[in-house]
Amino acid sequence: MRSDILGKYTPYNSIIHRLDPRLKFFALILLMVIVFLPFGNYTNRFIVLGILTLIIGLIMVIGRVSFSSFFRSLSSLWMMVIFLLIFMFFIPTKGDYPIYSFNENYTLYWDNLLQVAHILVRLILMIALTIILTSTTLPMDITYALDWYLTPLKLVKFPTQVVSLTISLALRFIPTLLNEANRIMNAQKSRGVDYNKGFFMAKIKSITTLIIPLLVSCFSRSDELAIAMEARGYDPYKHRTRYKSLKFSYKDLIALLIIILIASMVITFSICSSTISGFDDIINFIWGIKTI
Amino acid sequence: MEKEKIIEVKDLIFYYEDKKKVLDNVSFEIYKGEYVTLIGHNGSGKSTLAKLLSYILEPIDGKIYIEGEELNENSIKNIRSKIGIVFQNPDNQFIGSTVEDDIAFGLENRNVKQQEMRKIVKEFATKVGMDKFLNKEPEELSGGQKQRVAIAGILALNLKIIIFDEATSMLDPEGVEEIRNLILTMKKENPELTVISITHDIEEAYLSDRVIILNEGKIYKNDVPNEVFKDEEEMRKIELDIPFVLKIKNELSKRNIIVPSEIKTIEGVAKFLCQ
Repeated sequence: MRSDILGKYTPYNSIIHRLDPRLKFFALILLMVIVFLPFGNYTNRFIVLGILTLIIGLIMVIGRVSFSSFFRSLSSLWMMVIFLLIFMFFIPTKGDYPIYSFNENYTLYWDNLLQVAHILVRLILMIALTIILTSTTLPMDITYALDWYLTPLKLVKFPTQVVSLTISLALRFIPTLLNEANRIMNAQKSRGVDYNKGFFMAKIKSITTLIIPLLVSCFSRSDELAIAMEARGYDPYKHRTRYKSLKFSYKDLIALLIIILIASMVITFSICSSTISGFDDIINFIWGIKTI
Repeated sequence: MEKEKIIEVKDLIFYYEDKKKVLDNVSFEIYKGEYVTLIGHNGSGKSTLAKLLSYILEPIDGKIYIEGEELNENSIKNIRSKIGIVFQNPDNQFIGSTVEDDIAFGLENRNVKQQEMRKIVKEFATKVGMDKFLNKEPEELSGGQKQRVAIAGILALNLKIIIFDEATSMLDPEGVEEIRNLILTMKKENPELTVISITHDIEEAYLSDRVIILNEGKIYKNDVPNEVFKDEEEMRKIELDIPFVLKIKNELSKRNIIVPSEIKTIEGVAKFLCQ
């Protein structure tokens, strides 16, 4: 069950794995923003997204991210596609290349389909970026990175250490609770509960036989955990030293420069693309051939 | 040998809501450097006593002194810095996300410097035989290994007293054996360390310095293991068994082979017989 978790950390030793988690976190946010930047017309958009796809794909190869688990995760996107298509159908927009005119008020345009594709590519890239981060960075390191970004909040007496410890404990207990859920499910199955059978309501009913014992055990676990932490001298409002600290090396600096270079190029292109219309001629040309 | 009292329990009384006394006038002393096991069948009050000793519960009446200091709300913080507790459930006391993080947790709370912490973590992980698992996650470890990590985390703090609160009851026989041996090596390396083990593992009890048997909320016996387990019939009456090694020794003595009382392991008996 565990190996199926999407974007689970894979213990390789690639360059991407060894980068500072703070840098990876920053790069993730920056690239996500870039993916969602507007670039004038569709040609420009797809050219930029194509380049970004290549770059992100390259990072995935270097970071030895499992493509099979990535594609498996994409298979759940079909619901999204259907939703988008329906949405597009009911909300008429204006476009240059009509497919079919139902009446004078409602026309379906190629542009709409392009828009769906555009949203889809953006989503896929975003998923890819997130998977790169989680499969090359230990959850604990992500927590450290988050904690580092929260440091300015210390000025307003915000307990950043408490937040990061809470997150790391939550992450630490995910596999434990998954195992527990499995165990409870097996126990209930042996008592005759069928989790796969039946329709909606029946399924909800059978799920309660899992949720309630799981919640009960969660509470008793958290209670014991709190006692164990206290017994080891934990005081949330006292200063604690750190066992691990993050190191920003020259490799990270180079990676940072590369990321910033890519970002600034894409952003410049985004700003300029409103003035360049050359790419649109190509699509006009293709359109011209088809209409003949 | 001069004995220095480290824990003193005086006239301890405890009951839950139903007013039925779980602990009834329990008094005993534990001396520095001793390895004491507390045993008793289910419902004898030993788990309650464990909770009282670690101040998870407050006594209704009676007092507990640790190094002469009374255990209460004000002193608990200070006393916690002297006592380490290994709990029953190996999962619920694993705080760090990896072995090294977990061993370091207590050190972080004590503001130990990072450089020093790395050395200490390495040292104690080696002591409990977990040095090859430093960056393993708890899910990859067995119950016995998790308990060993918990012990390392406590040993690293350089405490005077360690309480094992049924630390082996959720482990498989192999894990029980691991922990039993670890406690003994721990004691051998640091004779100053006081160990109190609340357990239902009579084999472990037999290896300790002193055994306190609780029965129906009262102290039934409080003596060295060889004395405590002398009478098999009597032990049966309070729903306890006698250690396997002792059974062998008893059978041997029926055949006029007297094994010396210092020999407490099966291997020891075998060696003795081969002589």
